[in-house]
Amino acid sequence: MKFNEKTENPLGQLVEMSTRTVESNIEMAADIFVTLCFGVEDIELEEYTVSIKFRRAYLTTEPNGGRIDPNLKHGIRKHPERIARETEIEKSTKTTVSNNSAREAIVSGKFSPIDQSIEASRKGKKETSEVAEVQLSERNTDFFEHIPVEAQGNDRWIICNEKDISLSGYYLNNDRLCRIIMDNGRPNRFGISIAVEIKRQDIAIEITKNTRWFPLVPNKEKLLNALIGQRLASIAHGRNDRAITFAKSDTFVNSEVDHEG
Amino acid sequence: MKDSFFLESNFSHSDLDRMRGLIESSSSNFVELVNLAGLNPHTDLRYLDLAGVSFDDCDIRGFDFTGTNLIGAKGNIRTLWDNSTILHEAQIDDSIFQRGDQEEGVSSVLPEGFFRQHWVDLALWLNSNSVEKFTDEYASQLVEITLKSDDQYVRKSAMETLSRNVSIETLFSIIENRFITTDDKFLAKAAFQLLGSLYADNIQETLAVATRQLRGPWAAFAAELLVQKLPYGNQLKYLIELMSRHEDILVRRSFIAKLAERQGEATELIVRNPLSGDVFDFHSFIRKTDLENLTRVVIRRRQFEKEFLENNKFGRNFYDQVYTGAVSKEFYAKNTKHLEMQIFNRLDAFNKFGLGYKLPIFATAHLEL
Repeated sequence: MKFNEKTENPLGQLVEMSTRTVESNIEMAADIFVTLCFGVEDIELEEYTVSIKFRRAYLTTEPNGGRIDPNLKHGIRKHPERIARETEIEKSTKTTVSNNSAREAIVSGKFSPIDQSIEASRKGKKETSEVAEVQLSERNTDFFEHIPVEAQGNDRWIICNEKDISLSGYYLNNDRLCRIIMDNGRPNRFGISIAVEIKRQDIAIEITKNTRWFPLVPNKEKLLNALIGQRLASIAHGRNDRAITFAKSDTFVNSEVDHEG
Repeated sequence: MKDSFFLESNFSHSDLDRMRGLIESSSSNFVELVNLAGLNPHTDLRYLDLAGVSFDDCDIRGFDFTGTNLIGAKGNIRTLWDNSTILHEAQIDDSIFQRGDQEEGVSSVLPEGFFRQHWVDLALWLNSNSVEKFTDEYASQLVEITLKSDDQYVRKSAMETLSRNVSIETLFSIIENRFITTDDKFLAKAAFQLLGSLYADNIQETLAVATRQLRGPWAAFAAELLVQKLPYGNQLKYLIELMSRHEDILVRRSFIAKLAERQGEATELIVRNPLSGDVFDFHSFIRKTDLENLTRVVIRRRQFEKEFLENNKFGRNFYDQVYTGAVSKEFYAKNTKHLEMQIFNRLDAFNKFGLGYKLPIFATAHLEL
């Protein structure tokens, strides 16, 4: 199978994706390798510099004449069947012992000389108390594994950093994203479309240079964001109300078999 | 070959200018910034992140925030939004929209039962808040009390307290967008009175607010206010022309009655059909018999005035009516024909405002004699 590939990166400074499709070692299947990187790009406005970033992105796929092998997806988070939890507890006790009880205990021999001075200081019926204290604490260790390109349902992947840090750098470098398996009956066209979509809400801007010190109140910042998003949407590959498609790749092979005989 | 390796090349000069304008704007008003950015509020504010923005002093009626994150969005008493503000799928937690300040008022601040309390309690509460402490929240509470209290006295007190403590611009906004939009006649009337009291401070805005109401449900009040306040001249002429085309006959009649009232007691008396008691509408046919009936009314009124002024100067008559003698001074003719002519002349002069009355021709003949 010889795959035709067409990739569009109209805003390659911000999002760049390339794909490579290789015939799999099993029959009627192909592996999809993807390289994907994000950039933080600046817009220079003389006195100001506006940085454009993305908080998260989605890789969406649409197989054509086949389906994605659900068992061979990149970035599957599989939760273990059982989770063992280790807990360390340091026990403590905080006890108040009345001197009378202590004395009685000493007399009866149950309580070894808790303090000889108790007996010594005791006068008449006056009671004092002694306090012994130990702290109680519990330690838990939880493990969290972050998967930068994590598989989700509906044949898509979410790309994000920990703690909402904006996307920057390569997230896939010729890594196998998935395997597509051809439908029975040898369809005329077999392949996959992959797109990088970013929600409008996930576009973030930051003024990194502001030599005239105009304060960027939230209203200005959010509307500047909207304005830039609107412009990016008009340049990008495609858009809808919610999201903008920044890069798209179509990979397919046309059947060479002439069914007409 | 690539045009440029840098992103700016994808932005036009006008885009970059708009971005710079937005950064350098001295205003932080949301609507002004939307306009400055060239964003369409009906299409370009969907599915955005607008968390924490401020809608202070903004009219966002008709704005489409479908799917937008509006968590923590703030507003103030002058923020206007209603059912035309689209919030479908929007996240509105802890925002002005969730609290429903506009629709439900400050019910989160004032419990519902508060509005049904006895007026003494509310009056005490009103008085307990000194001017020094006057805040937007307090103003909101007063607006809500004015709108919702069951007690007319309390509502009036709240309205007065509000009018004394907020800026005139805020007051215009509250009158136009909160009080006049109500379906409560008492409140609307009081609001127009309050509006009228602002005339001396801001003539243009008072007239503008009233004029905008001429097509609204309280057109009669608006027309009354305008006819009282507008100086004689073209503006009044245009108003009369406009009102002559108003679809509601009650509004038209109410307007003419106020216009006649401005001309004095005599005119006020003769613009009503004596048989029906209704004000002659624009373009009415005033027949000879109407003039005769008006003459009888005037004669009777002169009699009342005479009796009142001679016998009951310091008190009130049986009908609790005070007569100043203005009608007798205006219509002083000794015989009926002459009196009829005076009434005709008065009506004719009133008609010059553009009322379009059709007066009997033979009455004009009397005039010429």
